[in-house]
Amino acid sequence: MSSLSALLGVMGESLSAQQEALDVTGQNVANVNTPGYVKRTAILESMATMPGTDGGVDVATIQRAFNSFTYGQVNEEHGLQGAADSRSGALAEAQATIAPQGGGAISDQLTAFFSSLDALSSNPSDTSARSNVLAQATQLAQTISSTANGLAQQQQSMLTQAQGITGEVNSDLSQIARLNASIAQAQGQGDNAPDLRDKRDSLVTDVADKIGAKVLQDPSGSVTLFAAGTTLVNGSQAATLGVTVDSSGALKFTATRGSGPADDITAGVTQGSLGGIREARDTDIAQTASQLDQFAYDLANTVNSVHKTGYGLDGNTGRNLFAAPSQVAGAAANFAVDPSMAGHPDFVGAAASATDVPGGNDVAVALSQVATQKIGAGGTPAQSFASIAAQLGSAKSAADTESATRADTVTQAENLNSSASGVSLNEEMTNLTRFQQAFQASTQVLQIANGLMSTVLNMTTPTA
Amino acid sequence: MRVTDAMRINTALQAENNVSLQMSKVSQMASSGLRVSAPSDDPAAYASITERAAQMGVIQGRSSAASRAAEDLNLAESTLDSADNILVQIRQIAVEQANGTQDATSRANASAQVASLRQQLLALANTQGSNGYLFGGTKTATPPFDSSGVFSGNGNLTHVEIADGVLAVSNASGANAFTSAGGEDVFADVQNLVTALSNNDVSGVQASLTTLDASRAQVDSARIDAGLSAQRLTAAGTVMSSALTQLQVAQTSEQDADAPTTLSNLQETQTAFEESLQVTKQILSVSLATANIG
Repeated sequence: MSSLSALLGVMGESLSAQQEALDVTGQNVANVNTPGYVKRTAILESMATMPGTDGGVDVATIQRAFNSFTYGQVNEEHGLQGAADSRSGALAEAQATIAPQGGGAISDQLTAFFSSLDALSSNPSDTSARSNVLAQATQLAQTISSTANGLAQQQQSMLTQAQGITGEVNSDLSQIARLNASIAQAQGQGDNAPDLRDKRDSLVTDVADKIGAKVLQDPSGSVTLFAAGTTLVNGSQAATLGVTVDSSGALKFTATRGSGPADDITAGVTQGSLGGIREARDTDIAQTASQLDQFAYDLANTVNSVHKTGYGLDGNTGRNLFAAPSQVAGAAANFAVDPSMAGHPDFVGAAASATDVPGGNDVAVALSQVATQKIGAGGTPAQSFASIAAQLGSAKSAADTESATRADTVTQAENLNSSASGVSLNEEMTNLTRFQQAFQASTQVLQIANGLMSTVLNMTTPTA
Repeated sequence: MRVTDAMRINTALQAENNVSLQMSKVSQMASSGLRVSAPSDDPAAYASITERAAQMGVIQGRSSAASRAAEDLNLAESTLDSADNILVQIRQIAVEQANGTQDATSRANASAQVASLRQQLLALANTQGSNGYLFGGTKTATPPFDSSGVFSGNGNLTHVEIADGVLAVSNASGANAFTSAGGEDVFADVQNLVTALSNNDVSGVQASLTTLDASRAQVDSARIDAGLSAQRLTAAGTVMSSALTQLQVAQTSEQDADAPTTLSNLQETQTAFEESLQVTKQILSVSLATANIG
């Protein structure tokens, strides 16, 4: 059995339910551009206003359109994109060091050096030809050593960069742990805490960008975050990451939990910008640097072995043109003209015997022939250098392709996630109209019910 | 599938980003004129361009060394030709003075004339080229013959490389041309004539005709050697220059961007970029929030 007062009550509930739904719509519209915001939906349900009646309405819950599968995909793709982007960026810098676009690469200096030896072979007694050989040798040595130093400096700055990013990850991890605790607490009190979840999930994606991230949702509302092959956040406990260099100069990542030991997680750091930095620094650039060392070692030894047989204008022999490298490691960075040769163009050994001085050019010719001979286990000096540059170029090209692909797959993953969890303004505008109309209709019903009530009240009121 | 605003914006931005990236690549290619300007543009092509550039450098170096040596050898050839002419003059004088009708005065005059020609011969033998004294072997810094015709140079040869591992002689041997190393000591032979003439020694003058012939043949043979060496270097220079041209053509075709293709690519990407902007604008303008319904 219904009553007018029950109708008034139903309409009162309806007004507040529609208003709450409008609030939710407004919140969605306001956050249409907020990164990490997950669309809310006011779930309306009918409710009994008094025993034996129904037809009332209530907002049963504010649902957060979270999809753990599409969200996981987004994190996965961000981890891969972070790695590809940072590797590509680092290799662009390394490539510019090895093969500067304006010229002046090691290959150009090699050509200039061997040309100076050809000129010397035409005129072995000429001091200016000899000075030019020393000048070109110095220029070549400086280019090789500054290239090696450039790579070493880049590796050093990548360590600093990795330390900076690790600091950011640590800050993210501790915020995620704190939010986990707050969410679990709120959930215990019946509050779904959607804003806190948005914030936490957004932080997880940040972590994915930097080191990759996989999350497991816990019934308590908190998440467990896995990355680099280990657990970085478990409930309210966050690990602290650290990065140093090991004895071989490679990056060493550690994770410390509470007062526990620092676990070495280096091998697991393959994703996110840290993964990209690690691969570029310790695989690609390290390989280029060691190839450059081998190249410098072979070049110095080959040139020296020929130059030692030559006689200078002073009739002496057995001199090194380049400082003899003691070992392969560091040969490029320490590449230099032998100190005893500096300022002594007459010491350049062009003649094959003391009696051949000053016009003999056999050794000058033999030195210029190094340009077309195999040095070490590789090809000619130019081939050896070209192979180093081409290998780095291949790595850079692969990283670029990977980066472009990841940009697309990230967009795709984000679109899928947005399709499940994002705000559609069109949808919200439709909802706005829907709830507005329901609100307006409710007020109309309320007015009519009020009118009826007044009529009834007037009927029963005794006239004076 | 639900389509959200973020999806539309993301997709539009990503498409635009791809077109921008493409445009930046094509613009760089168009402005530099190079298809390969960094190893990552085409690693294999970069390696072959670098190697070819080195090869071209080697050939240029060899070519300039060869042409310089050829100039010196040509100078040596013409110098030896002049020396030969002087020896012809000396021999004529010897033939005239070997005749019994000539008297002591005439022979004394002839002696002075031959002595003067001998000085000219000495001056020729001490000619300098671009790399010091032409006929001193590897002793290029000091005159190889002193005033008495004593040789202080050596017979050592210098070489230039004209192809991988192929060496060609780059100097003329003064030892073979003028000294007993070649068979005859030219200056001693001429000096003997000077002495015989001044001593009015007819049989001595007659005897020197034989040695003068041998000297001439020796200088002539050295002249031919120098000429052949010069020719070999000049021929090698021609081969190197044509090889260089071929390498340059190959280098250009591998390294340089094809201008018409680049321009049309540039136009295509520009059009694509503009279209992408239009589409983005269109996509973003379609929304219930801005639509004027009812």
